[in-house]
Amino acid sequence: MGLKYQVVIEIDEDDQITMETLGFKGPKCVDEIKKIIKNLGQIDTIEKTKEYYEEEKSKLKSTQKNFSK
Amino acid sequence: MSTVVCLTSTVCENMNLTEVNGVAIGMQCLTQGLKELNYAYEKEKEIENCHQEIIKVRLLITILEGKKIGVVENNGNVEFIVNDLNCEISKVAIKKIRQRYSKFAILHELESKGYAKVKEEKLANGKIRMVVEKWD
Repeated sequence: MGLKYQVVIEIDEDDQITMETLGFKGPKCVDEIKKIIKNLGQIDTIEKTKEYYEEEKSKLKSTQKNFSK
Repeated sequence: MSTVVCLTSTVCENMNLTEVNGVAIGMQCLTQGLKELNYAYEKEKEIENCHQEIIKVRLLITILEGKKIGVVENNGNVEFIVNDLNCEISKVAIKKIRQRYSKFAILHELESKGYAKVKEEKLANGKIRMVVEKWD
């Protein structure tokens, strides 16, 4: 079975919308939200969680490893 | 653990209408929201605005106590017309309509990108929470 991608959306009574992605790796999650929002409005703020940066670190490590080969 | 990114965005601030294949998605999302709220509406009617002017509207919505809200399109935006700007019933109704509009506009975008809704709930703080997913 393939990978599961989820988006959790909350819309408050003042029309403020919060989206959270689950299952995306690194910057892909931001790209995905930008694609969704593109036709709808503007992004006010982006909050990257700890996991986002951890993913970036592991990517960096693997790149360095490949380079030293 | 999967990467999680939280975004806060202002969506549909001016309730932009998106024309896709000749269908006014914005108006479609709006009428879906009205149906969910059980607000009756009529198409192509008139309403008196707060300056006692008669305005032709795309939709005439009936809310509580027989009060009416008109909807017009102006340069791709949806505008609401009421005859009493201070009416709390109308203000609350417009908030609810905007919230539902946003819900259906977002769902439309997500479905066009392959997502399917798996959960929806109304939270105690008035928020609508939805979970959508897709498999790759």
